[in-house]
Amino acid sequence: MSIRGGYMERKMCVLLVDDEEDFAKTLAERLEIRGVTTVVSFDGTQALEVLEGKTKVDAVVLDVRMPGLSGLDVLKHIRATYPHIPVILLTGYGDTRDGIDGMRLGAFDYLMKPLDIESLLEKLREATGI
Amino acid sequence: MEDWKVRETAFMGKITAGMTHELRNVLAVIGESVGLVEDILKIKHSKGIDDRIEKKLVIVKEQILRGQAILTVLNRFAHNADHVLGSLDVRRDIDDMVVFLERFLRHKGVTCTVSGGNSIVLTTIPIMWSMVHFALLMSVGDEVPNKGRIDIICLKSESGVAVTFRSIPLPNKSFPSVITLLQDDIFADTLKRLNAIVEVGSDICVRCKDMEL
Repeated sequence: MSIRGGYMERKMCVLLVDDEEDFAKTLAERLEIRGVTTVVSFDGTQALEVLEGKTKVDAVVLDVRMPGLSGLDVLKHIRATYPHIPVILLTGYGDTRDGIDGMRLGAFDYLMKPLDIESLLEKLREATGI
Repeated sequence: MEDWKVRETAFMGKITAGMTHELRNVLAVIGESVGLVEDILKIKHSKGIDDRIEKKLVIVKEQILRGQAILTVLNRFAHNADHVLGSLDVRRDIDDMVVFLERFLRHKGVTCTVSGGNSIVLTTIPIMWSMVHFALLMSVGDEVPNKGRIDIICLKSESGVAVTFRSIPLPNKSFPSVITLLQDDIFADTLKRLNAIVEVGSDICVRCKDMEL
């Protein structure tokens, strides 16, 4: 929590799901520097376990292509079980089809890798209102 | 194509497409790591990062974008081998061929422009279509004078598509390497399978029929 202008501000908590561990950890560090609490999962099953747990997640940033449960499978599960949590998909540059498929399944938006962190933050703020 | 050849091509395409995806991840990790280094330096040196370091970070980021663009083209090309007969955006495929040949053309100081419809979709044998246009662009590139220009014009026609390669200025001889290419049995057979013809005049024009029509 932080206090700004007399109001209590809650830090946004984001669940970041990507099987590329170094990518996920580094992106998490960059988000933390910008005041976003980040929980990292390296696969879809682990991500669903986090959502079932006690951590209050405000938004999910989800890689589309992952081994095991794909990003789109995880998205379907989140939409069915946690419809209030917005999901932003990460797709490879040029894979717009994945992003569009995700939007059809209810993703808030999609961004292409390599990421522009400021664009990601903007989308997260837009999605969560925090 | 013979069955084994189809499988061989599809295999090459599948492996290439998969590896481009992996390489994109490599670039994404480098990109985020550079971003983090930049963040840390900005926190530690609130008055600004050393100019030399900042310039090098910009170069790394530019090269990441360049790598991503090349991988996108390579990935798309690899997917051309997914189906024997399929839809192909011929305009985009020509753009991609230009990227593949850029290095060779740059060596001669030759530039390339592509114009015509933004998206012309044709039912064809994608991998063969790419092979034909790559070979022709290579041959025209051989002929165009140093520091010249190749203009490529893609136009939709009633029965398919017409792609024109124009050398500016005109070469001294009338495209001998294109004529040699056309005399090659395998190239001629490829054109036949594609329902395509090549016209050689002051320009080179390939007319290819839509295989679904």
